[in-house]
Amino acid sequence: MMLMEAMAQGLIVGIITVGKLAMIILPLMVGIEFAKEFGWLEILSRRSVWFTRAFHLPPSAALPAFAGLFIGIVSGSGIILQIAKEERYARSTLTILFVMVGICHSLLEETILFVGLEVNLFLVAGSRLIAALVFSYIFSRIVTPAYSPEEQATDSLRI
Amino acid sequence: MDERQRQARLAIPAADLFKTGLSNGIVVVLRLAKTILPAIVFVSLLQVTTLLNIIDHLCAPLMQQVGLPGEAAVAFIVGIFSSIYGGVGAMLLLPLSYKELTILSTMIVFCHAGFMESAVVVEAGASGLLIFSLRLFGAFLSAWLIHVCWI
Repeated sequence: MMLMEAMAQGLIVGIITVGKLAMIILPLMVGIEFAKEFGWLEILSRRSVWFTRAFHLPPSAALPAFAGLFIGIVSGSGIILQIAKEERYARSTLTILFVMVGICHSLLEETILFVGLEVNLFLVAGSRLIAALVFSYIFSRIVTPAYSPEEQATDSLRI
Repeated sequence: MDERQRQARLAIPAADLFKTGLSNGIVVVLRLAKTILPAIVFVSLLQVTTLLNIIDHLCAPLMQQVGLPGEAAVAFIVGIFSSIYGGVGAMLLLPLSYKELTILSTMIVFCHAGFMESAVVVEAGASGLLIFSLRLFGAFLSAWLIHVCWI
């Protein structure tokens, strides 16, 4: 009997929480759709040569990096896998990219989850982004860069 | 993008964008419900059967380092094995303070859905084990930092 009560109580808490989250998630997902359609991600990638250069990444890695960071590993995997295959990235490049994206991804979607809950969102999302950038920066210095900054300089002229 | 392209983009009806966003949102909410509900029921069963107490005792030494009670490990582990939604669901029933919730959320957000997301990493051609252990390490490191630096 106690088991049934506990299950019922759990279900009620769960349904209320899902409802609260739906109120927040639905409008935000519509917003993200608009942002994608207006091509903000492409604009962002084009202006981020300084960013990819700092992490010893080729310029073409900006789009998968930002797609991963903001859209997500699983939902952004289409973009990530496609570009990784097309550009034939070296393993060291992939490692740098995934140290960044693995730690911090779906920054919008997954932070939204915590909006209705009693947490410090700034700390949750901020520490994650900072850790991702610091770890991948350290990694980009450790692994032998398949992509040297000199090569990158010539590549950025092609854009 | 040049002016013509911009025009073309704007030509997509806003209603369509609205519909896509809404249906994407509904998919997320359903996915959420599908994992949050079982996770919550699971934890409430753990509570009733005092299994939670046992887990609490087992994990207390490690979790105390980052300022969490031992039972918080349940939400973290559920998050790793299922998804971030499961972790959040399991977290909801635990009696945690604002600080503890923030620390636990940070840990879950760093390291969740181990199998599903590692699969993408491996598929792309990087080392899934390396990325996952870095995430685990990052989870405890940042949790510890938040715990220590909390004012």
